[in-house]
Amino acid sequence: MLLTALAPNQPAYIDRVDWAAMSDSDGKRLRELGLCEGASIELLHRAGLLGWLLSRLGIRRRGAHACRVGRMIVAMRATHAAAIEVRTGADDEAGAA
Amino acid sequence: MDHSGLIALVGNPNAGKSALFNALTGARQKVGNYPGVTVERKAGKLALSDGRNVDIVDLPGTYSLDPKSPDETVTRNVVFGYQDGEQQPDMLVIVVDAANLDNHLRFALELLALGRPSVVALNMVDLATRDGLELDADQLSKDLGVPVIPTVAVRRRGLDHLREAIEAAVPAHGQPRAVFVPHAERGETELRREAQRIARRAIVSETPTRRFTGAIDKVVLHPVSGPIILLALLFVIFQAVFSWSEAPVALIEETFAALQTGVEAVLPDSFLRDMIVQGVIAGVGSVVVFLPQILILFFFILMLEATGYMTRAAFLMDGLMARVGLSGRAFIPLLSSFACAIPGIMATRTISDPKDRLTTILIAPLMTCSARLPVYALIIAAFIPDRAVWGGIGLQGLVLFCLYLAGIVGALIAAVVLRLTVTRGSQGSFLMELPKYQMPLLRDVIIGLWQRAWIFLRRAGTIIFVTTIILWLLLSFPKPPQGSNQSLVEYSAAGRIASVLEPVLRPIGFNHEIALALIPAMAAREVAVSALATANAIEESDDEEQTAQTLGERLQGRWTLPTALAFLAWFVFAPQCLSTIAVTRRETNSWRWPLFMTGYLFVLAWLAAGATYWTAVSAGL
Repeated sequence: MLLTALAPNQPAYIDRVDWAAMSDSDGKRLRELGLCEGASIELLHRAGLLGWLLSRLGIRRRGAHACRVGRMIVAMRATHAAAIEVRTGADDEAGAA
Repeated sequence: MDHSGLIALVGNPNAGKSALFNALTGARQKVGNYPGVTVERKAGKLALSDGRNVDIVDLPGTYSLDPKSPDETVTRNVVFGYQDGEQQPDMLVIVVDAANLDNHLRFALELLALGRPSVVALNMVDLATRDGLELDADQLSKDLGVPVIPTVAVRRRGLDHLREAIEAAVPAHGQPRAVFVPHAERGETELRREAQRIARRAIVSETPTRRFTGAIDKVVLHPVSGPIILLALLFVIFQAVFSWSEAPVALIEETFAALQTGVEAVLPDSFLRDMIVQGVIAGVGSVVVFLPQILILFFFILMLEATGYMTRAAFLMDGLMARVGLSGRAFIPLLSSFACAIPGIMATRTISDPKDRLTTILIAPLMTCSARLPVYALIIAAFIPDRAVWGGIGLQGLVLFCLYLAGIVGALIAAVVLRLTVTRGSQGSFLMELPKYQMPLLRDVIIGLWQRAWIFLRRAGTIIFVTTIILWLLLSFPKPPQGSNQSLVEYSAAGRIASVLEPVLRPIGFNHEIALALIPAMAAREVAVSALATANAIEESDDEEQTAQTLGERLQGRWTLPTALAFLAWFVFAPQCLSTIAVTRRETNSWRWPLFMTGYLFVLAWLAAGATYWTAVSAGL
């Protein structure tokens, strides 16, 4: 699933990053911040009052995301979060079954 | 003592470099700029036990030697010895956050590959312990091949060991500079894997107990409580800027008034005395009087930065900023611009996207800086009745609030228009590390405040000093011939320039004396008040407040309400600050953007003043 769809506080691993969906320099900075395939990640917060209200109505929000990556908290926009595919423990179990 | 060697403190952002720099150098530091750029250069002296006194520079934090922003470029250039005005460092003190080891070690490995004498400061080990991490510094030292010293800069722990390690590693005085052979360059992935491998070996035990930062963030970053807390904080800050500054402002005013009286008592009535009393002391004093407000605002900004909250504010503001084509990072420079646009424009150096950064620079002067306050205070006190409206809210305060709001709204609209036109480009990004919360160290905040105060006073002592002398000369010469019915001011050079400007300003309700006041106010907005005072030929009183009241009363009789309101609207937009224009020139490295900024802001000022005047006149005010 995409990072934007990950439930808050659910531990996951980065499965794949669509580096082509962002500029080279943003991609490099994401990797410098530890966001690369295999890294552990956890969505902590999504910003934006309007987005929060819309999400109550089931409308997808676009505000900034704060994620724990390893031992660091990294903030990024939804456009970058949407380029990151993550895998949770539940995904692994489903795959094994 | 000998002055030998240069040490550079280098590392990731939020590794605690500045705290370590303050702990090593104390108050013995010098803040300046690297030539040609507005990136701050913080340098100090480090006394070693063998009598050597080495220079130490605190380089801007970066994630790699492949820079993304102007300040990161400076770090790269200094490390490689390419930076103008800075010699290549003799050794590096690589600062890493003990709690973020695998990430920070990646950059440390990149630096160590340069083959230069280095020491690693394993900083903030106390916070790592708080997070449940136990580290083996000796193992880390073996793997990295350089000394690794555990430190807690804010508690001054480990500093003696770090000094000893530096002493052993920094080349001795007189020793020829060694030629350093860089190690074979490794790819990004290889470096990352190596960093993770070394970090794993250095971690003795790891317990997941990161409750402190997480617990605060749950409230501070919550979509509902987060913005409320941010707004409440901003409210408290602006209240404090005005209420806390009253007593020190009065003290500064009294000091300058006493200085004027003292000079008048000592010197005979002469050209020199007039120049010193009316030009130098009055001019410089009218600027220094803002020092308390600037320091109060900077106190809060430094506290918010030191605690780690500022990046959270940027996170919360990113949504709004994105809607006007900016990034959440722009919030920090724009907040600084409420004190003064100059540090605000300098703070844009952390914005990596050039178009984002340029747009932020171009709108920063629209934030209501403290130099506008004397102008607003004078006109509001003179023309807006001191009465309550809508449930006890003071009308004067409400007008002041509206002026602040007009600046913010104007800036947001300007940002949208600029991003659609002259700074058009792809939407910038927002990638930012949110550091752990920390208790700020009072000493570091005081050092920061002292540096800001010194920069401000130096500016007052140079630019404002020269400007006020020139203004006084322009207003005083040439003198009218005997029997002339023209006043001294009208006959003076400044008066004649004002007559040339008057036809442009007349349609928006401005009279000759406003045109006259606007000329010297080009140097700094607050000069408009003293220029109006001089133009009104008011005898300088010992009490500046009394002078302001007298001036206000005089203006009431000479200006209409629409003219006064138009004058306020003018100053919301007018780019009347030479220092801001100069810093924009330096920051953008051309005259094109400061000239564009000056032009569009003057057009906005004229239109806003005109719209206010015409509306007020048609409303019968």
